[in-house]
Amino acid sequence: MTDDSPARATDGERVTDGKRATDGEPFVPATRDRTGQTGTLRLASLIAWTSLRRAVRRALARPRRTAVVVLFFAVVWGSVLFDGPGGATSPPGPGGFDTFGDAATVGVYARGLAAVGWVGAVVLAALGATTRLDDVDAAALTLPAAGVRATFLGTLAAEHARRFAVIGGFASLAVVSVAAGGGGVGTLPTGGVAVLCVFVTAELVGHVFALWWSSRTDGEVLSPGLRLLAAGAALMGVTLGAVRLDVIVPLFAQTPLGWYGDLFLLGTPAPARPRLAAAAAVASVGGVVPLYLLAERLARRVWFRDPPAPTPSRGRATAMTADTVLTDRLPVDDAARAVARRVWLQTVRRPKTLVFLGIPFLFAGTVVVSGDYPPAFPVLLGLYGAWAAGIGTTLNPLSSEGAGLPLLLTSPLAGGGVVRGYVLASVSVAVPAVATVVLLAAPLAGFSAQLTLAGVVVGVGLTLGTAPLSVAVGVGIPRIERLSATSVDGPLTPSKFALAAHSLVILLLSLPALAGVALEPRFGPWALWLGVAASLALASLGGALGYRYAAARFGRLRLA
Amino acid sequence: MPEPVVADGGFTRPAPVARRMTDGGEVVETAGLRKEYGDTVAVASLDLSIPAGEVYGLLGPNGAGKTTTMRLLTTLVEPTAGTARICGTPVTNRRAVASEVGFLPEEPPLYDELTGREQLEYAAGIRGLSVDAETALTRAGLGDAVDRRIEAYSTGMAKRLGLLQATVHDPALLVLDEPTNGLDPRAARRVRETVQTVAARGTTVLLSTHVLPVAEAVSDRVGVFVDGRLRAEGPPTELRDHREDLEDAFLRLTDDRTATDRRPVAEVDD
Repeated sequence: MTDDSPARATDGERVTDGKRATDGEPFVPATRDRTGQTGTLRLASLIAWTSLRRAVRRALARPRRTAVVVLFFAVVWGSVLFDGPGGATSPPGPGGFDTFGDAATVGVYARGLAAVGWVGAVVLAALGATTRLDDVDAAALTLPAAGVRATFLGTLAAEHARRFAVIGGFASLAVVSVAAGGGGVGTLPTGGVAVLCVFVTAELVGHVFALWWSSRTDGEVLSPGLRLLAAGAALMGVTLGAVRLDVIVPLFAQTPLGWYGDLFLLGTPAPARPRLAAAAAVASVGGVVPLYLLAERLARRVWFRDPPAPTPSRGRATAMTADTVLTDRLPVDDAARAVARRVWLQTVRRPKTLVFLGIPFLFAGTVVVSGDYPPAFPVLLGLYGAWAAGIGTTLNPLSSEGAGLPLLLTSPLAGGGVVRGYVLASVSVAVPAVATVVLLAAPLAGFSAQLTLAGVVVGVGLTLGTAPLSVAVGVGIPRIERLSATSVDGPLTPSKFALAAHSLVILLLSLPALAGVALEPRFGPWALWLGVAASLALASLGGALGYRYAAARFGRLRLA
Repeated sequence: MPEPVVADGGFTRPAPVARRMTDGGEVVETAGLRKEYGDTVAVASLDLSIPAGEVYGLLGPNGAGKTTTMRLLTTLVEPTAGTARICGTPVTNRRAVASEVGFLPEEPPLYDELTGREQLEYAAGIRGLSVDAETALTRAGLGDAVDRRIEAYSTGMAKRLGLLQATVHDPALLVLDEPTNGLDPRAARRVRETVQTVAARGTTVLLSTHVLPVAEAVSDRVGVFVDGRLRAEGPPTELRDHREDLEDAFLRLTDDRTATDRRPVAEVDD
């Protein structure tokens, strides 16, 4: 101990009074030694609590978003509470579960849904797992001070608590409401235990999987292209599952995961299997520690590995592709073309927003599985193209600019040039894509040449017309990070309100075309083409207004 | 030995854009310039005049108004009151001023997803210019990182790239906010040399820094900001008293308890 070391007080508390600086207050704060009270659990609790407090404050700082989330769950929970089995407005019957059908069916559905819920919770946990040291809250402070075990446990607990608050909390409330409202036969005495077992094990399994996958793939979890495909396939899978619940649920019910359903059903009239329910509970409780230790071991391996070496070749390849797409033949000035090229490269390399493009897979999946093509299928495909093009590139321009915004604002490029750049980035890719998809899909689904052509015209026309409109929506309803942030993790996905506004705009502009499709069998082709023309006229008008608004906003933009 | 970081690596321009103020003309002129954020006065009645080719160092404690002043002069924020002109053009005329100003904020305005080459080509492209990015980057010592994404750049590399793009259009005024912040001594020296090279060509440089030896080494004049006001300005040698260095002078000038006790020759009257 040197002379500078803090003196140790006789009561076991180390008191650092701090050295007086020659001027002003010292930077060394007075502290008390609490090393006897810094076990792993206590430190992990402190880390988790701090993380949760930050999450709550972030939520309070975004009251609109928080209100929407709360409202959504309030509506869902309210519907379960009042309209669920035994609820105030549910059909009268001898008991809550009887409204679902006979006891055997209830048993199958309980097991199947428990299994599906467990898988869903695993996926959510895996997607949200902390697989990079950079994602740990204040890692440079927390890790040296609290150690890896407490940091990982605290981080995991905080993530789990956040998810449980939103999803698990809802599930718990639903269980309680069923239990409370079901009368003599609808009680779920083990429901709470089952919810805990499902969510805790799913959380750990999800983390183990994500960390294991990350350790196998050297940090690059999935390439952007594969991520898109995976997201599309996942959405397709969800759609297939939702459409064919009658197949999926019994299938999952037969797996060991279905034992969680038995745990739910203990004490109810449904035919539960007590031994399997007990096995599920025992396995869950007994598996917590080994799973946690495995996850922690993987985290130590993944968090502290060397970063992957930079790969220059991919950058050149995508830049050349961008140059190919944005050819000089397009009638746009060079400055706008520079913006377009940059936006295109950003979008392709950080394709968070492109995940939204997977949503049409939901639609396609539903149609393919059901085999029931709606009459307006070609036009709807075209609409999806226009919708997706806006979301992919133009609906959050300020976030795309991010830390680079001062460069744009200190350039002589006018607002109109910026908007033209974004529009060019969007339409140069989307227009051929939309036309190709409709031209391929509509004839394959057996639609006439006329409807196929209408789909192409509407898709291309709306894509062109709504591109500037979506830029306008994006600058009007932006979602951005602080520009002063030293680490901005790429462009953010658009604001949910911008997404809603963009979707509404597309829907409104397409209404005449959809009406034309509906009226065509009765009034003939002219009704179809009148509707298409009206949609195109509206799109042109909206595009012009959107261009003016967005250009003016960009022109007036200043830093706060 | 890499050369100073100036983007003269063979760029072409469709038309001459630099309109230099020579023969004693003022590149930066402000009169009563003021910026308020709600109740907070970031810049209070600033009268500043910087002639062509001068390197002017902005000094001051954190929150003194240096960055806001730079943002005002680069059109990134609008003044609450007063006027500011760059090469005779009011800063309210953003597009005209933009052609005359190059700006490197403390955090270089770069797009992480782009490579160095793409970033520099973009910076030139939005000004209607084309640039031989590879030559420029190589001359700036970034030859190995031409096609590497910026997210993999170190702080020094990002600063160099930011400086390159700030000079890509050969501006009349180069504004640098903490250009040596976070750089190692070698990189910091290259930035200093770049500033001197740019100034020798006739470009006016306005830079803010907390590194007083940097300010002393490169600045023809320095201005000391305190609480949004220009408390003193003059050549570094004149701001110092006989036996003190610039750090002592800075601490004296920015200390409220002593500032009124001793007024240097170049102290500015409010």
